[in-house]
Amino acid sequence: MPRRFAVLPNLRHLGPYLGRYRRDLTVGYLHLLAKTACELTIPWLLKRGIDQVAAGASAGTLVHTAGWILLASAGAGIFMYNMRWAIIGASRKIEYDLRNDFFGHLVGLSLPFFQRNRTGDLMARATNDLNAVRDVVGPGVMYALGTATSVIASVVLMARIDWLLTVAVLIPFPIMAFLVARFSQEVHRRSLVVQDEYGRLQNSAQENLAGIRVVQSNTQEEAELLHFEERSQAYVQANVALIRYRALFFATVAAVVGTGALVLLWVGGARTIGGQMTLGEIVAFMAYLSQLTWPFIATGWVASLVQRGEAAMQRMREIWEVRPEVPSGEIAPPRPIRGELRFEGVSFTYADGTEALRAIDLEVPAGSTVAVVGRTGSGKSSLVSLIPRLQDPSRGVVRLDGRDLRELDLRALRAAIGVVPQDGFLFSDTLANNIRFGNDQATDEEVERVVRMAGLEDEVRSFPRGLRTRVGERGITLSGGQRQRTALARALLKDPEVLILDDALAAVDKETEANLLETLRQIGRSRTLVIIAHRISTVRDADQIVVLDHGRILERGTHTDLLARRGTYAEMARQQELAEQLEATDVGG
Amino acid sequence: MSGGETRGSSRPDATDDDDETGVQAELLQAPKLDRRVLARLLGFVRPYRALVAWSVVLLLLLSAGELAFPILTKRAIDDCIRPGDLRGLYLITTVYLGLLIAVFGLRYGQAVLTQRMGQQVMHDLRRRIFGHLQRLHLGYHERNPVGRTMTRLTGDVEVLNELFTSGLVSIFGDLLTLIGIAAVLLALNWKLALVTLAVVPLLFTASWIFRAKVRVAYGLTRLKVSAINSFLQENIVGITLVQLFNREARHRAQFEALNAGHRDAFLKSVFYYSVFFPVVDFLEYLAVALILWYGGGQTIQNALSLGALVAFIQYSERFFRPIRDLSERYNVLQSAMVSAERIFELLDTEPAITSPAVAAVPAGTAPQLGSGAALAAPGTLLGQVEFRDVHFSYVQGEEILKGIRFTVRPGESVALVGHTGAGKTTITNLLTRFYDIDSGAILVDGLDVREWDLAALRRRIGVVLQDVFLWSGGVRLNVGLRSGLPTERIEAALRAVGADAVVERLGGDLDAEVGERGNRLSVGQRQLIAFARALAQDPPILLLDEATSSVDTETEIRIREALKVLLTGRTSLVIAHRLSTIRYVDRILVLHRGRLVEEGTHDELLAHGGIYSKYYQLEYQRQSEDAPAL
Repeated sequence: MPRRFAVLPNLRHLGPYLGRYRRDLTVGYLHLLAKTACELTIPWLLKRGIDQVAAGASAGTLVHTAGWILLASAGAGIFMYNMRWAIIGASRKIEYDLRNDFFGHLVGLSLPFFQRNRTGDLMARATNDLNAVRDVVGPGVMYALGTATSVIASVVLMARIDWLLTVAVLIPFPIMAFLVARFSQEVHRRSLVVQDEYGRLQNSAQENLAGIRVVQSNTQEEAELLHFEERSQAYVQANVALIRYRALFFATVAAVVGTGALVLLWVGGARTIGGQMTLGEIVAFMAYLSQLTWPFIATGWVASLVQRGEAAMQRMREIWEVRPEVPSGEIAPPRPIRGELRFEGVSFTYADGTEALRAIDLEVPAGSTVAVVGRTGSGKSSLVSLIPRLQDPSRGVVRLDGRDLRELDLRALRAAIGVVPQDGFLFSDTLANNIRFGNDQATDEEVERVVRMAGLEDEVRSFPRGLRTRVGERGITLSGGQRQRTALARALLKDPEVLILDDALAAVDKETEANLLETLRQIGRSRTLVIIAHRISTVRDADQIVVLDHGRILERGTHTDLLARRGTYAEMARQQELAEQLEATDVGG
Repeated sequence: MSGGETRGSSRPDATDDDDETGVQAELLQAPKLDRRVLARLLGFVRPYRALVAWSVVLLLLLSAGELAFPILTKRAIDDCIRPGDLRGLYLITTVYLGLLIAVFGLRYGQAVLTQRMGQQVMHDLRRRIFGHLQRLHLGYHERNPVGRTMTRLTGDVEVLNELFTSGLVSIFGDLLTLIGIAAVLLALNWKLALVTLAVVPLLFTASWIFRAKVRVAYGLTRLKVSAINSFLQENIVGITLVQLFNREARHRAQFEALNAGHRDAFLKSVFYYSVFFPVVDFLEYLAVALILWYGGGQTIQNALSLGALVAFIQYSERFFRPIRDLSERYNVLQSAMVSAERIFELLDTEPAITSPAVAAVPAGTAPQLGSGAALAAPGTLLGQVEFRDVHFSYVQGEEILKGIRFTVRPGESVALVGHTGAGKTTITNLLTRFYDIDSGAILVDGLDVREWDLAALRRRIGVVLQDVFLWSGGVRLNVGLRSGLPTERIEAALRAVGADAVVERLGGDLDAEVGERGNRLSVGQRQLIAFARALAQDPPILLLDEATSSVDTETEIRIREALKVLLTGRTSLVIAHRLSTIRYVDRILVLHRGRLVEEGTHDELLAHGGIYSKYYQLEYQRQSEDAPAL
């Protein structure tokens, strides 16, 4: 591909999108031409009308001219409608395509990417940056084409009336386009300063509000107010600097336009007196000038639109060029999946060099239950995140039924694994849709069955719309325990061969937990269960308990084995027993 | 699995639609222009009466100047060009040039003046809101998320800025221009003026319909944008679930549906704009055609000069812009009303906790707080704290403290011990009067905290919180606070608690940035800074909520030493998490489920073998085991 577009290295990637709406854009441009043609006849008609009046023509001819003006403007209107609809419409469709593709790309990226990038930043790229790019495609393209067309055409028409006057009258306009471009750069720069100050103002308010307790207990209210006033005043100053410049800008544009009219009156008047022109031609010039004002302003404006769009497109492409770090393998896992897991010398290191797991060897026979305990940050979640390949180990191999996970088809692998995360994250949708997350085709009976299994039945009945109750934003707020049990139902409905509970019963009360564990034990006979937990009561019946510390396996064995060892696990058990005793103590009354 | 995926749309979520329309109706409803709100807003402009007057004068001059251009054109045509008076023409163009320069100045001056005034008003508003927020009780701040309060203070005020800069004054200016042009036209030729103005009702109707339609379309678009944004946000936050449940393709389909809704809503407003602009243009040319037809006839009959005809055409152009903009300005006005109401609602929230009308300032308090106070307490008592049968609940019916009774004598160190939720933190909140109690009394130096001057009370009590709050800025700011303390005192406090090492690590610069929330410092370093802050204020009473997080050995030893310095010579109430602290204090109060259940020294309580001994085993004993390993 020839590098013709090297001037806009990022925006040129819009090529395929523009290409898709080639037809709309072509139609839009043709209508733009027709609209311009209609508009340009109007000054000419005016000239004719005025000259007719000056010559004392009959009322009939005037009606005729007035009628033509109406007709021309009606034509211009219809073409303008078509033009806007085609070009701006296309820009909205391109925006739609871009956003879809961006989203599609985003959901395919791996966990580490989302740990590296902040949500707010990703959101900004999908919204602000995308809008900036869209503005280039829509108004940017439309005004650029419109300006070029109408400037060329009107200059030609004006020159045919009087080329000397044309030159004289148009002198201020290129100056204006230049000024607009310069001005909008400076205005942009100053608005960045304003945004900066606004950010600082917000930060200082945010800090104050977050620390309001400290402020009040140290009676710093007055001093804080003074500080805030300083910030606010700085913001005012930045704004005033911008206001001054913008006021100067608008006043200048108005003055330049006025200068054109002045030159017209002066030179044109003199030439009319000298007999080289008619009065009608002056009026036509006036009309052409007023038609040219906006296109010239638009030139400068479009220049800054493109500049901003280019920067925005670059930011979007930074995301676009990220490849998923967990590419799918090609082998479909042999059926039936038994659910045997094996970690062989697995280490995991974060991008910043922190070692989360070090040389883990672990074997989980099919259909058995393994429990992982350990302090916060000991590597429990990292360990289980490797099973559905949310991330891959830095060293070593994880195997399912003897196969390296990286060889397996990713979708098939994940279909075989059910995960109940700690936070019980739910989407703002109905309860039923949240539970159907992994299996859209599940019947109502199946959904009700897992709801029963997760011990949610009674609560669901008490909700205003049962399973069709919305949760989350604009819905009801579930308690932590309810969320966790919903997440459990969601995973159960998927009927996975391997079920992972990532500290997923922590917010559930003791009694409910016991029931849930019983249920899990029942289904666990044919499934591999991986349970991360803090409570001894959750893990005591597991076939195998693993104690993690600083990414290493410290102890392993059954509950009884580990108690007998009197190590970390035994100490944990003792602590919890004490805490329970304390909880149970009821004094006074 | 892939067979039925395309049927995803038949999922049972059709029931949500009525919810959505409910929200829509609310969002799309046009807010009313409340005269009282407007009057209250204007109250903020009152201090700038003189500036407003100047702004209006400039605006009048500007409008007049603008109106004069077509007149000059008319004079040039009728008096100079047609009769062939070249000198007259030069004279008129010179006047034209002068007017151009004058209008340039007026336009610049008027815009700067008005908008600067708007900025000052915004500044005043922000100051009022911020000041009010400082006085609002902690309960309010805990109920309202910081983000929302911030929006009142910044976002809503910005919206009002629009009102002052492009709203009120511009509406006034536009009306002036319209009236001026109508007057000039009528004076030139009233018949032609009436014919020309006949287009105005049409234009008015068109813009009014357009305004209403665009408002709805725009509201709908915003609704769709927020739907897209929440979906996007949710999917980014819940990305692992999306992937674990293999929902990438389905979510993309859902996203496309939302996105299409957004596109269509937007296309609707594109449609309105695509209709509106041509209609306005057409009406403008309709006026021109009318002028040419009717006015031309008048000119031929010598009832109108040719210059006047041209002036009419020029005026009609100037006439249309303000009418087109008026509807837009009305929208600005409406959204400003919404913001103003929210702001006033905040300003109308009264602080629940304030100093009493006649506040007492017992002796020993800094005298600069000259509130002519009734002196109730014995002057020598400094740092006595007493809880008398205190009952308290944050939420009615859920009592947190159930009759707490204890006294801390001046100079005594007392530790509060108890499980999470026992009410320890609540006690510190009550003593500094962040909340008022349900029954009983809390006395500081013999005086009920509700009778104290609030500032004097809080100045008497120093607080170190578990989660140390640091401002972004230097150590000087964080120790001396914004009200400022002499450098020597700050340095002395830093040395006393061993925090001078922290400053050294920051290059010895008291003003070196510690980062947002102090994030360039370690947890232990932040603790030491907080200690220094409390020490520098030198309060007679100290409330200390110890941090639970573990720190390295060196810092641990430093903190231990610093604590001794801090507790010496003042009354202190410590929520203890460190073994060293509970061993150091004079007395331990054991809280359990809102009640005071045990009291005594460490050894006494341990010997007693009650609740404390269990806490000790649970919370502290390990520290003694760990200690050698540290």
